[in-house]
Amino acid sequence: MFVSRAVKAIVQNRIAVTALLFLGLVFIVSLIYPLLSEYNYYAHNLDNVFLPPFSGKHVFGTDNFGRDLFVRVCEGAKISLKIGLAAALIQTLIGIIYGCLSGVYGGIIDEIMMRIADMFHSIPSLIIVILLTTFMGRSEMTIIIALSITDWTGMAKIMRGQTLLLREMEFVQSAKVLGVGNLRIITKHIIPNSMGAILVNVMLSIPAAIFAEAFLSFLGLGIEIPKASWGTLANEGFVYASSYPWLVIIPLSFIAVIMICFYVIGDTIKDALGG
Amino acid sequence: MFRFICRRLVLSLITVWMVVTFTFLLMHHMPGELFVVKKNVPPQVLENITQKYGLDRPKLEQYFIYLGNVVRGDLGISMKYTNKSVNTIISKAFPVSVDLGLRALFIALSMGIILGIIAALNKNKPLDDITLFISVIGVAVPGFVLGTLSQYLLCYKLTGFLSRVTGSSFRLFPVSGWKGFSYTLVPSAVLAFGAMAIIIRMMRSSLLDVLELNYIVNAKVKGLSSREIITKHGIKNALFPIVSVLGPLSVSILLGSFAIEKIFSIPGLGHYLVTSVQEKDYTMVIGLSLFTSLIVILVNTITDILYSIMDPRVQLK
Amino acid sequence: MRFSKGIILLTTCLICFSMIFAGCSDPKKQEAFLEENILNISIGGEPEVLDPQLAIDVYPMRVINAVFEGLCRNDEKGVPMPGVAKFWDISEDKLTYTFYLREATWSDGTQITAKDFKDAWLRALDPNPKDHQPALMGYLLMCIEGAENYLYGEGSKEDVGIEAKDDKTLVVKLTKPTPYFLQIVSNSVAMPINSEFYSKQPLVEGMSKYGADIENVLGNGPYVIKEWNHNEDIVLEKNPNYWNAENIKLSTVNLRIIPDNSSAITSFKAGELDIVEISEAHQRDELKAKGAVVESYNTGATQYVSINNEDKYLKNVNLRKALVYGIERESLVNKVVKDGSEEAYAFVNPVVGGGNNSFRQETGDLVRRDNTAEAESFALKSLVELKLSDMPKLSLLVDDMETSKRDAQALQEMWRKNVGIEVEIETMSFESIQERMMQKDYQMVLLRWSGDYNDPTSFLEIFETENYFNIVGFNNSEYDSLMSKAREETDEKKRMNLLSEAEELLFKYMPICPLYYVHNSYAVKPKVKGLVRGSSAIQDMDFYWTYLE
Repeated sequence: MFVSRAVKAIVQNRIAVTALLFLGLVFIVSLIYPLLSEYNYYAHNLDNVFLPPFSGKHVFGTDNFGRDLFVRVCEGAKISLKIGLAAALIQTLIGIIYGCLSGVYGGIIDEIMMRIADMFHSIPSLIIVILLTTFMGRSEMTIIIALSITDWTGMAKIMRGQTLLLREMEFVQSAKVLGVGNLRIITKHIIPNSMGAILVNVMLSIPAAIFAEAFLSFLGLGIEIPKASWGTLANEGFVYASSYPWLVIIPLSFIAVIMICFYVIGDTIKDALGG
Repeated sequence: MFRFICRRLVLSLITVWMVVTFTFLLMHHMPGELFVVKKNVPPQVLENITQKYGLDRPKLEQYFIYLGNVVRGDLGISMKYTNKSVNTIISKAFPVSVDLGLRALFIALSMGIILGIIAALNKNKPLDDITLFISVIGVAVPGFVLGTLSQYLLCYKLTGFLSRVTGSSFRLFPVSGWKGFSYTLVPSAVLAFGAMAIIIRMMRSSLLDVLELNYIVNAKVKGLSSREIITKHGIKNALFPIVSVLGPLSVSILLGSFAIEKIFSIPGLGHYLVTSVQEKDYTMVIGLSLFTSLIVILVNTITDILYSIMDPRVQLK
Repeated sequence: MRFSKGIILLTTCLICFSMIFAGCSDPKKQEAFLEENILNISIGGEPEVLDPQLAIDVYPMRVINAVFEGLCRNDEKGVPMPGVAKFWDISEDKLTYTFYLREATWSDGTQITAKDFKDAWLRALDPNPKDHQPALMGYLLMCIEGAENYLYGEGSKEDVGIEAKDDKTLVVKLTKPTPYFLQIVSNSVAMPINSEFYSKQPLVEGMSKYGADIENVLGNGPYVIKEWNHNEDIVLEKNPNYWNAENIKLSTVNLRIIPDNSSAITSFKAGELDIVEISEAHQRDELKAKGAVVESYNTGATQYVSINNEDKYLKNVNLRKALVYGIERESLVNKVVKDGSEEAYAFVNPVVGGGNNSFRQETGDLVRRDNTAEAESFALKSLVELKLSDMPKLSLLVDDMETSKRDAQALQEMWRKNVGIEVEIETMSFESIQERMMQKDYQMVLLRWSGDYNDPTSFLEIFETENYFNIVGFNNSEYDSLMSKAREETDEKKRMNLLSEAEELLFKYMPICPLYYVHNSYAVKPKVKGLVRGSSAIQDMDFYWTYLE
């Protein structure tokens, strides 16, 4: 019911629909770009470097190796969206499970689990991320894992709060009296009734993860080259900003617009579900 | 209140202990050698260094020695800056980060609240759209981009333009460094931007909510002027949600200034947070984790207390 | 109204804080860079320690070169000239050096004696010092009699062949004729130490604070440290007690620490810096257009790909040749690197002297130019020899620097195109790379090598079987014997011939893939004259002769 209400709210809101359409467009183009362009994201052409947008077949121009920027942005979309979605989903999942368990069991278990969450919350996430990359090498997988395990505590706290709140409600109490197990209470009552909070959290976590990945690229901790996320593209283009501004403006605009899309959709859902 | 603080203190100690243990475990299980150098150093010498740091002892013994030192407030000696203690490094760098962070927080809060009020009072008018635009930039443009951009535009172009126009050597915003008031403005404004964007949106929506509540409508009926209503009732109550996010926002400003510090060459703590892990400066990493966790706990406790002072209905437990 | 009081309190606190911190700063400093005779430079990073014996990186060396002075100092061309030593004698067999010190003082006015040098050198060789880390550069002094034994913990301090005959005479005995000994003497590790000052330094956790902060540094060089704001700037002032003070023209040097190069360039454009490093070609054009003088100099380093010769595929010499010939060095240098660097067709950098000409001129190129056609045939040969049907996939380790990532992508693409080999790039921090390469747990790694002194041996010795840094795993007894013969040879000409032979032999086996000799570009304001950018770590940035017009 929450989901259908959220969908209805989005459909009724013109800006949200536009945002959704744009997201869809980026997603589709990033998948089918090989049909639209003859170039690939890694082949160099050292005689055609720094071409401005709309020169020949290079819609977005070329970079310092003469690689087609359009193709690289499409490839970057795939990577950025993948990292954003995967990290958001994983951290939400961890958060839900952790928070529910902590809330349902309560007492000393709750206390211990919350201290562990506090610990993860207080260690600078950068330290964990850098440590992980030294352990596991730099790949999309590492970054997804790193972002998920550093940012799940927020969701866990929210879910714990929800659980504590719902646990006292009549319908949960009566289910308990009827001898329904904890697991069933979580899946049947607590999660469905927290769907609003979960959805909003996911919608806000995706752009946050894309942002975090971009920041890692800024630190030089991005994914394996020559692949490039939007963050990497923007960071690479930065060096050339004063002479070849499109190299940074194009990927950055994509980051910014995608960010706004997710926020708009998230806001719409939040409004629809009453905060 | 007293019981609350006591309980918090105990819980914080436990958390800090866990942080130390966890990072200690992580750092001491990093793959590879401790000291690897490109130079022609006899292996015996490397062994001597290892001994000097007590790294040849059993892990458990090292752990307890470290814990003992921590209890005495001694975080050990850095392994990269070989004759500086972690305490000295933090005590030199952190005040700078705090300085920058507080300025940013101040800007974020004051500008955020003011712009939020403006937006709410001019709902769906051009002024509202302008604040919307500002907050969109705040959430959609990464801080390091905003930093470089404003450094270029404000510190180089605008400042250069002004000194040409006035013909003086006066420089409004210096490009890099941390020497005085004029150096702090641009970096702290950039650092504030993200938090400010959130505060603007929150202030706007909560003020709009409050203005629709019964007692405000009543006050209007009673004939109070709208300015009075807003200042007396509206803003005060609209501020509650903002206080609740103040904790996380302050933490992210205080500890998330690495990019800004790097771009504007500010000698803060952010630099060490990043490089110490990469350089395997064990003592520094553990010391920094401990220190930052203390900061996080402290900030959260303060905001909780603040919240309870503001709203007597909230019980501290 | 409790609540609004809270807010007012908070706001006042915030404002007060801002005021306090703003009040700390000194408004005079802001004006500093406008005065004359002041040079503003960025050194790129905080020096870990200003202790000549312990410094390894280029950041501390840039400061140490200005604040300390050894027996010799490199002149404008990088050749050792008299420093604290007024002159010196070298014995017939080239094994005994006698240095005669001039009347020179520490910056606090006390005399510099031969003992200060003896103490410093023994300190650098101490294998297990009680109040500081062992000096990692101490091995440079191993050519001194008894030094190797002492450093390896087998001999005693007293047996090291350094003798302070009187206050102003230092006699050093060497084990082998070492033609580059004066180079070593002008290095950071051989700079003097004032033992009395050192013994007064407080300890932190058992480590002496010598070199940690401004009050822990006592130098004898042309400049003294006036201010050291960590991670922010170091202000140097002319040392009035320096023996050659009359020829030092700058009154103040402001060493700013700006880690981010693009923000350093913006600072340069805004007039806050007089000199800035350039990393990209377009910046060079831009700064030139703005009236800056752009210079380029050979850093003395060679960029190369180290190949693990013990790897199951890369042990094949033809595969290595395919990799070496698969690189189009001209387009790499002119279209990718674009900073004035020259293509490398051998390993020893052209700045290295070799008799009358540079060693490079004497030995010539060892990798044929215009060679990509050959690459494929070598690759096919290697496939047959390795009994493989397809080219193996290889990995290349690369550090986090933007320039390294740039080079790596160019290499990857050239190898794909010219050799048909897929190379995966693994980026990691330099620390992790060091670990992997020291354990020979790698296939290829992008590296930069520069010698610690200006002699071919400082390049060629890393391929000796027993060398600590022989990470390629090159194991050739003929090469080893050539190198040790060269070490014993007293005739300079013959020695160079032996070394030439050694390098030629090396490239028969292609254990590495040379890329380019690294040049560094920097922009400088036209008013700055006489700045020396040398080709050794100690002289990377030398403002001994610098003046402003």
